[in-house]
Amino acid sequence: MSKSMTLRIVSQAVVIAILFGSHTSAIAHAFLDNATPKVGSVVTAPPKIIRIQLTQRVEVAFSHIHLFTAGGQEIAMGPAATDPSDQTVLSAPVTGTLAAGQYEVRWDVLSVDTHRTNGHFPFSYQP
Amino acid sequence: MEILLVSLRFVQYMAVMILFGSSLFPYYALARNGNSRGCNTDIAAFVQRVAFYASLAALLSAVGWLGCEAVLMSGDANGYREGATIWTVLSDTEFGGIWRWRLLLLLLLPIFLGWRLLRHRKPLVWPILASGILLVASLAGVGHGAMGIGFSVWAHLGNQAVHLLAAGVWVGGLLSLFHTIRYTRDAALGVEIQRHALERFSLVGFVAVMLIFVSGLLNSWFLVGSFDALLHTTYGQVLMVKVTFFLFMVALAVFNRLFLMPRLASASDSEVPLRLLLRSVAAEQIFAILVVASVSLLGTLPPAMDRMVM
Repeated sequence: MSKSMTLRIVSQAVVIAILFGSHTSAIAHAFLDNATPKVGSVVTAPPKIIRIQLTQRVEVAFSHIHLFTAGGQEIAMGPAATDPSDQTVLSAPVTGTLAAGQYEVRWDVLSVDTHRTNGHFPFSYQP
Repeated sequence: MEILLVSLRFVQYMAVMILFGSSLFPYYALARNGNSRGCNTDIAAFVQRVAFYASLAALLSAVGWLGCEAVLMSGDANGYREGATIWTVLSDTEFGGIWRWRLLLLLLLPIFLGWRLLRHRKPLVWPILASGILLVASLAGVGHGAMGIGFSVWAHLGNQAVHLLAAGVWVGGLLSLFHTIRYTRDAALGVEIQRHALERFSLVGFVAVMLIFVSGLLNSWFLVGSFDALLHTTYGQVLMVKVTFFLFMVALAVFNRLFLMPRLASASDSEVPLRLLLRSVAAEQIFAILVVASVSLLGTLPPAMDRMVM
């Protein structure tokens, strides 16, 4: 193999490595990263606020958090707001009263790249 | 709704790239001497005429795009005709922050150009160029270009703006080049003007292609992330189709530069290479349209990296 051909193959490999080398930068759309109360956790005090951290900044005007009982009854929540210092954090106050039992948090958000995502997770309240 | 959005995105991208690229063309591709003054005036008039229609198309597609976003963001099928929803999109989202002043500029530009055309004023290219730069670069902040957290937002935005502007130089410039070659076909100094324009366009086009290539690599790093994602996601596959169209454009540009231009200069009868050149530039324009169509679709798809995570 000639020197120039070796050079060409090496330079192409470098370009391909740069192009396709695996990396772990931010995800484009907003997915759930972590939440308070924690996903699937058991809490002993009723949460006053539901807080979710997403993998992308979200538009608060089109982002919501809802709370439901295991029977599907919706618990009253205040309007969602983003953390002023971190637009990936969305939280909403729980204004309704929680009895002991299983709950499901349902969230739907609009990321700043104008795509909608949604999800849900459970937690239990056992005083 | 997605198909409508892809179509509106296509019209928007094409229109603003034509505004920018075609109005930049006279600044680098035309000789400033007296012999080609007639040609320069004609190209400026052509640019102004094209810009009027392009700005109208950009305005209509921008309004339609806003309506689509109102529906998609709110999840309400009637969102496009609800004033409160439209206002929330415009006032409370990053998309709206950019769209507000884009709409204002797109409203003023056709009024200004239409007035000049009706009054038969001397063609004025620089306002079209300035608007074109703003309209193309600002598209970087809409959609996937806005993703990221902290420094990566600015890095991605800057890179996307360079990518779009470089593409605009080429895509829009092709239209003015095509017109220049056609217009000067029978002129006494036709071959000289064509040669000059082609040489300058080749040079500027080469720089644009390099910028497209490098910024495209960086964009892929942001949005695709791995070879696996490139092969196994719709986003990755559409991106590969787009790159294939882009490579066809590059191949035609190389063919023009290395094969047709020397023949144009040396042939006693330039008619044959000229006809070939016109066809080649037309084919390049078709591939440019296909590249922009692919871009319009990519913006509505979840980036490959997301799919691999889900």
